[in-house]
Amino acid sequence: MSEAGALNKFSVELINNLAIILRTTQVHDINNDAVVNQMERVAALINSAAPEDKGIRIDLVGEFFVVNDLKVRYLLEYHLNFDYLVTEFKKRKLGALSFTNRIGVADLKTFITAFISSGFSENPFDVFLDALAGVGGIGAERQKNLRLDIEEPKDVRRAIKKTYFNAVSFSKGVMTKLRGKEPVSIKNATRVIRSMVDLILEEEPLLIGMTAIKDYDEYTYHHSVNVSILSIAMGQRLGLSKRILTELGLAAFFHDIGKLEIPNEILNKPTSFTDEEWASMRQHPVWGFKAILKLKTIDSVMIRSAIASFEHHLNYDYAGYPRVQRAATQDIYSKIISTADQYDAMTSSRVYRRTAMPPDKALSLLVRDSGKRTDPLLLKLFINMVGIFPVGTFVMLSTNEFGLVYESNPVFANRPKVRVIIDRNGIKSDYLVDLAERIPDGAFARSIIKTLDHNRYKINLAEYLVEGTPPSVLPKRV
Amino acid sequence: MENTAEIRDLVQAVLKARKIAKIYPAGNQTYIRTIDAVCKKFSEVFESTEEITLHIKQGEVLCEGEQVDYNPERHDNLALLLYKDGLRELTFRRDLSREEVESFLKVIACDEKELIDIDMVTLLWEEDFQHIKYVIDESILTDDETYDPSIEKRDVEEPTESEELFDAYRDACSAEYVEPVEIAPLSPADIHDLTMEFERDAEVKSYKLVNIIFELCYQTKDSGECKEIASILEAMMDFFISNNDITSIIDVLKKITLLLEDSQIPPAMRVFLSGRVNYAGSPEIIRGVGTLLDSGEGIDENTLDEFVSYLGANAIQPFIDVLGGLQKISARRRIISILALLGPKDVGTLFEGLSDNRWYVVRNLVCVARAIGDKRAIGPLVDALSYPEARVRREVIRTLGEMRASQALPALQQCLDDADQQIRIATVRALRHMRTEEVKYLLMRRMREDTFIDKKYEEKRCFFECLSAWKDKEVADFLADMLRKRGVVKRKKNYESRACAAYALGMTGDEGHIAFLRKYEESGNELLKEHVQEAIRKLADENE
Repeated sequence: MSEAGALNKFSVELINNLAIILRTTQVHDINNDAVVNQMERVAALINSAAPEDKGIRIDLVGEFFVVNDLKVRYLLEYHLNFDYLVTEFKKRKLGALSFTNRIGVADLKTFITAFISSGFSENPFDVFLDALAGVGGIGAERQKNLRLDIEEPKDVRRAIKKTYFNAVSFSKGVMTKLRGKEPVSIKNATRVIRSMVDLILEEEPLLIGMTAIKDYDEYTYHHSVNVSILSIAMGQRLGLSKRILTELGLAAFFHDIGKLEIPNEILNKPTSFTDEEWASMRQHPVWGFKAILKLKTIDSVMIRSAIASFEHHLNYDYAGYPRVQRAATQDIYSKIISTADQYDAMTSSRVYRRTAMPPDKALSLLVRDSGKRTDPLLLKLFINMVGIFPVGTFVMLSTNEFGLVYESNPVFANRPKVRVIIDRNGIKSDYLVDLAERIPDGAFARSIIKTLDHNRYKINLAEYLVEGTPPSVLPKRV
Repeated sequence: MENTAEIRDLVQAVLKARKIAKIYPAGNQTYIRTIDAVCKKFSEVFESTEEITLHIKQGEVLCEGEQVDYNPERHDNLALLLYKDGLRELTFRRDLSREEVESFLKVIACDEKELIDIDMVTLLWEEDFQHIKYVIDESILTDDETYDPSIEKRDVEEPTESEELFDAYRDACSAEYVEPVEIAPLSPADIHDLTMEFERDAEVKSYKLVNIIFELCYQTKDSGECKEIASILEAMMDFFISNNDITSIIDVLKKITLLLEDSQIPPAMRVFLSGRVNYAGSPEIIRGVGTLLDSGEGIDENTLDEFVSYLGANAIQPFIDVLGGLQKISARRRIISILALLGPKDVGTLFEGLSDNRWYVVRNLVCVARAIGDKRAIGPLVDALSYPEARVRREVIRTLGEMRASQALPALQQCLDDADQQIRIATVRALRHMRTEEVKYLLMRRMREDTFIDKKYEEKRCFFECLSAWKDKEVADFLADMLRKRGVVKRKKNYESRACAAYALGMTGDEGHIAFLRKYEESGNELLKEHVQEAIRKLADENE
C-alpha cells in the first residue's frame, strides 16, 4: 500500500473511532467498560501512528477532514460517523485537533469530557480549550474561513428561506404554465433543485425544517418542494452524488404533476369523494407519467421522473395504485419519494382533509403501516433524518415548558432542539433548549412528554422557524 | 489594482484557450500547449494574490472595477453566455490545479447549441471545483410573470395571536402523554443495504418505461389517449436510438406484435400500435441506425437483422437517404444488405432511387437490385445506363449481365461502342453471363469487324475469354480461324488478336485443340508463344 493509502486508511479508522467514542459517551458514562475499551483502542491507534517529529493533525476543511495534509476519502459505511464528527466540530467552532505526544486513556477522558461539556456552552471553543489545558499532547485550533460560520445564523436562515420560497414560487410558475399548456424550462427546474441540493449538503436540518411550513392555499406548490427537499435529504444520508441528488430532487418535484389533470371541482371538494372521483384521483400517477414524458425530449432523468410519478402510490406491498397487470420491482427513487410524499401529505391540510396530522402522529402511522405502504428501511432512514419529533412539532417538555421543535438532532432522533415559547411558569418566552443537554447527575435536563396538534390553532409556524430574531440559548423572559 | 494588466492577459489567454478547446481534442499538442500557457498565466498572477475575482457583465468582464475583457457581439460572447445563466462573479483561488483548468475550459468551450437542457452554471456545478467559486443570481429563474412573491409574504407575515398560543399551551397541559415511535439508529449495515439497492437500481430504466407504456395500452379509453401513448412510444424510440439502444426498440416492436394479437387491447389502440411499427422505419430512427453504423461502435449483426425483420416498406426511402451520408464502407455494406432484405417489399421505391443525383447512392442501389434479382429492376437499370457517372454505368452493366436480362441486350449492345474502354469491357463480361446464341453471334460479329484489331489488348482478350464460355464447335472453329489469321499490316496488333484466340482455345477445355495449338508453340512472336504454351498447359492439366 502506498504511503498516502496507508495514511488514508489510518485516518478513516481514527475519525470513525473518535466519532464512535464521542457518540457512545453521550449515551453511557465515561467510565463504562465499553467506553474505556474504545478509548484504549483510540489511544493505541494514535500512539501507534503518531510520528515523533510531526504528530497527527486533523483539520476540518469545509465538509471534509484533512489528516496531516491528506484529504480523507471515507467509505460510505462510515458516512454517518463522519457527518456526526463534522457537525460536532462545527458546533464547537473547532478547526483542528492535534496529537503531538503519546496519550493515555486518562488524557482521552479529559479530552472527551471537555468535548461533550463544551457543546452546550455559549463559547464552546473557549470552554473546550480551557478544559483541555491539562492535557499536554492534545491541541485544538479555532475554525477559520468556514463560509457559513462567518455569517450570522440569521443570514443562514434567511438564505434558506430565500431558496425555499424561490422554489415554491417556481413550483407555482411551473404548475401555472403546465395548466396553460405552456412549455416548462427543465433547465431552470434543475437549477432550482440544484440550489436545494447545495443547501441540504450544508444545512440539512434547517432546510428540512422549512418543510414544516404548510400553506393550506398553496398546498400543491409547497408539497412539490417539500417532497423534493425530503427526498434529496434522504439521498444525501445515503451519500449519493450531487448529480444523483439533483435527479432525485427533480423526480420528486414533478411527482404529482398528474394532479393538474384532476378537475378543480374534485380537488377542491370539501366533502368526501364519490367512487368516480376517487377513480379520477387514482389516475394521477398515470397522468403524471405521461405529462413528464411530454415535458421535454425523453432522457434518462425524465424516464426516472416519469417512473417515480407512476409508482409513487404503488406502495411497498403493491396494493396501492395504479393497478398493473405485471408489477415490476418498485424503483428506489419511487420508494423514497413515496415516503416523503406520504409524510408531507399527512402533515398538511388539504381541502378534502382540512386537519393536518401532527408530525409525530404521522410518523406513528407510517411506522404502523411500515412494510405495507412504505419500505421499512427507508422509513427508518426517514425518521432518523427528521427525528421522532420533526421540526415544527409542538411539544410540552418535562419541565412544563411549551414550544416547538426547532432543529433535529442527527444523533438522537428523540432529542431535538426546542424553541420554548411559553416557559415553565406559563409566561410567554423565547429561548432555545437542547434536549441532549444533561444535568450534572447525568440525566437529561428535559424530555418531550406531550405533543400538540398545532393545526387546531392559528399558529404561524413560519414566524418561529424562519422569521424574527433567532431565539437565545438562555432563558429570556419577554 | 496593480496587476490588472496581468489579469487582462490571463483572461485573454483563457478566451483563446476556449477557442482552441472547441477545435482540438484533449490529447492534441496545440491543445496541450494552450493549457500549459493558461496554467502559467494563472501561476504568475497567483504569485501576487490569493485569488482572482472576475465580475461578469453582459458584454464585459471586470476585475476590481477595471475592464479586463470587452465584447459587444452577441455571438461567441463568453461573458454574455455566463451572464444569461445568472453567473455574476467568478473566483479562481490559488492552488487551482491543471485538471481544474482543463475542466473549466471544457465547460466554457461547450457549444451553445448543445446547451438546451442544461446551462453553464449547472455544468460548473457538476464539476464541483475546489478552487473555482462563483456567485449566481438565482432570481433569473423566477423573473417571469408566473413568479408570485406573495407566497413568501403570506407565509411569514401573519403573526400568531398570543391568545391562540395560550389556548394551545392550556390544551397541551391536559393532553395525553406521548408515546413516541421507537426507532433504532441506522446501522452501517442498513446504509450498506440501501446503497447497494441504489447501485442495483442505477441503470437506465428503458425496459421499465416500455413495460409501463404497454400496461397503459390496456387502459386506453378513447382515441385521444391512444394517440398520446402512440406519441410517447415514438418519443421513446427516438430516445433509444439516440442512445444506440436498438435492443430496446426491438423490445418495443416485439411487445407491439404481441399486443396486436391480444384481444384485451382496445381496437383503437391496436390501430395506433400497428402505426408505431412503421415509426421504427421512420427517417428519424433510420438516421440513428445510420449514425450508429457509421460510428464504428459496432452493432451486433443478429440484433440488426432482428430489427430489420420488423420493418416495413416505409423504411426503404429513409435507408436510401442514409446511404448518401455514410462515411464508412462497412456501414454502406450493412445498409445495402438491409435494403436487399427490405427492397422486395416495395421495389418501386427502391428503383426510384436509381435516379438519385448522388452517383454513389445509385451505384449502391444497383448493388441492392443485383442482390434482390427482381426482373422489375431491368427497366430502371436500363434507364440508368445513361447515368453520367461511369462507375454507375459499369455497375448497372454488371448487374444486367448477372440478371441475364436479355431484354437489355439492345442497350448493352450500344455500350459496346461506349467511349470508355472500362464500360466496353464490363459490357462484354456482362454479356458472357447471358450465354445465348444471340449474344454469341453478336460477339463474333463484333470480333470480325475490321476495327476490332485496333482495340487494346485487354479489351480484345476480354472478348475472346468471354466467347470461350460457349464451348461449342462453332466458337472453337471461330477461334481457330482467328489464330490462323496472318496479317501483313498491323502485325503487332494481329499477333495480339491471335494470342488472345490461342488463350481462349485454352479456356474451352477441349484437349482436341492441343495438337492444333502446338503448331504455334514455337512462334517467333513472344506474346503468341506464351499464350499458346499457357493454353496447352491448361488443356493438358484439365484433361489429366
